[in-house]
Amino acid sequence: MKKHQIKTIIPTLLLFFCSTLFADSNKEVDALKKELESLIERIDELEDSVGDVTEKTGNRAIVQAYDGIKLDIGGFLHTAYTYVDGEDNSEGSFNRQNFELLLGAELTESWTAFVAAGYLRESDDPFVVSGDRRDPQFNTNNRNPLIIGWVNYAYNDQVNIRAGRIITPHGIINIEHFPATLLEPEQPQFLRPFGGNTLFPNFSTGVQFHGKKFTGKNILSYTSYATNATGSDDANDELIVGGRVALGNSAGNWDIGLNYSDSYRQSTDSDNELVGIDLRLRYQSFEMKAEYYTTDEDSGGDREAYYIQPIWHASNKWSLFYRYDFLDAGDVLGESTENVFGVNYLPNKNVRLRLTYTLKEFDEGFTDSTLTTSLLDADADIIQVSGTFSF
Amino acid sequence: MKSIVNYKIRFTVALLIIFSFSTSVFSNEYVVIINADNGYSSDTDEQVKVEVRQFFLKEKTNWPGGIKAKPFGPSSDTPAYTAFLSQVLNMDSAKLAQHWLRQKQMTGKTPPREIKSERLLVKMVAKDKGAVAIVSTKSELPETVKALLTF
Repeated sequence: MKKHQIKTIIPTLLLFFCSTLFADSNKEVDALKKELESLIERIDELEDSVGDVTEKTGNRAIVQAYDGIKLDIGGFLHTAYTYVDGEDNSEGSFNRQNFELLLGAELTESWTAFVAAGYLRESDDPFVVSGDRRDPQFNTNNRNPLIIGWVNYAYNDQVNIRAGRIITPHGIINIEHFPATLLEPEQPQFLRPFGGNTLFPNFSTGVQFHGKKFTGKNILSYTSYATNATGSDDANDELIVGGRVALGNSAGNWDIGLNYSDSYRQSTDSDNELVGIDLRLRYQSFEMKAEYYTTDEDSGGDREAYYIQPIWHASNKWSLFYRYDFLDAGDVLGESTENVFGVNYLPNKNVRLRLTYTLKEFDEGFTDSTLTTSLLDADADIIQVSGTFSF
Repeated sequence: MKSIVNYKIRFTVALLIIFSFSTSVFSNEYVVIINADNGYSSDTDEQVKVEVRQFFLKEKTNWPGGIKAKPFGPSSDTPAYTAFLSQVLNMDSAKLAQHWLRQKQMTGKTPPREIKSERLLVKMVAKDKGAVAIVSTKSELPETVKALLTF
């Protein structure tokens, strides 16, 4: 090999060798760069998470349950102004200022507890206060009832046992009875007075079995209960039993429920049986709720109630509804009908503001259980403005 | 003749726009993941979607076999959350808020915990047999996690 050839080959080899070295080190640098970028991204994520937590807690103490996996605290404030233009009198009042504190605790994966404690400052039914439905009046009561307080054991989705003070599981509105979710400040007539027993007790104390069976796109649910009858000491000796079976689709487009109870009503000293059906339909922005009940009473006259409530959710913030509501509350109280027109405005998910107009009509009825003195029919126009603020 | 050429060009451009729109809207960008030891399976994606919806709304609380379901939601300020709402839960944020308001007040149930970091979501699912979460299809999944449904 000639000298000049060697001179050419050696630098070429050197160049090749160096370029390979550089290429390898470039690859390593690229890999390191990628790893560094990934680490920076992870640190950013961690900083964001820490920032979120710090923003929520800062240097405040963190509340924790004495024991258990989880403790949630919430509640709502519900306020209402009502104006009633009755047959002989017109009255207006800020008649309802209620606060409810909700506590939910997860004791283990299977055991949960839930409490709703009420701090209620409200008037009785204005058509009952004076004892004359033609002369509506307001009063003020302060009460602090334990509205709900139960412990639930979930064996699985099909089998749950609940014990304590429960919502009597009938229909739609009684189960969803919290004002924060209701379109109207007044529940249908058969659910008044709050905590009463016009057709069935709104709340009861005892034991409940409930569960759900998922079949494809449908959900079959059941609830059965055995509880004390509501009322004073004597009523608590009486056991009432009942239940509801419902079928609905998972998307929530429809639900239908069948209701039954074998109960005791202290006000009329009446053993009674109740049967009922409830139906809810949803199609796009339209919704419809309806419930029908009838009772077979030993004394005081059989009772019947139903309502139908079409709703139009005009947007996520605005809803309009109408409710036709009929109640036959037995021989003494007689029949009454309400036509309710309402609008709801939700400025955000925690606030519900309502305006309703109700045309109320009383028919029949007697002053007392001797059925000797008839009550005069009466009409009333009612305007209510209410707001519920939940957290 | 010129008008026909113009028409063809417009038609082609329109098709391209529709195609690009459809791929961006309906492409499978997110995946529902579960723990690899979770034996859940279903014949159809539609049924999986129904059950995932039930788990995330806490209507259903147990996997077949009795494992407690633990859903972890994507953070509400992420595109994953928006896609999950419209394509799996089939509801808007206002309806979902009302659902949780009702659940909170009737049963004390609260929404699934929202976790922002996808890496953390994957770790949570890898750790817990009953966990279920939504992550981007770009996320690296370890062997301890399996994909259930893409949307």
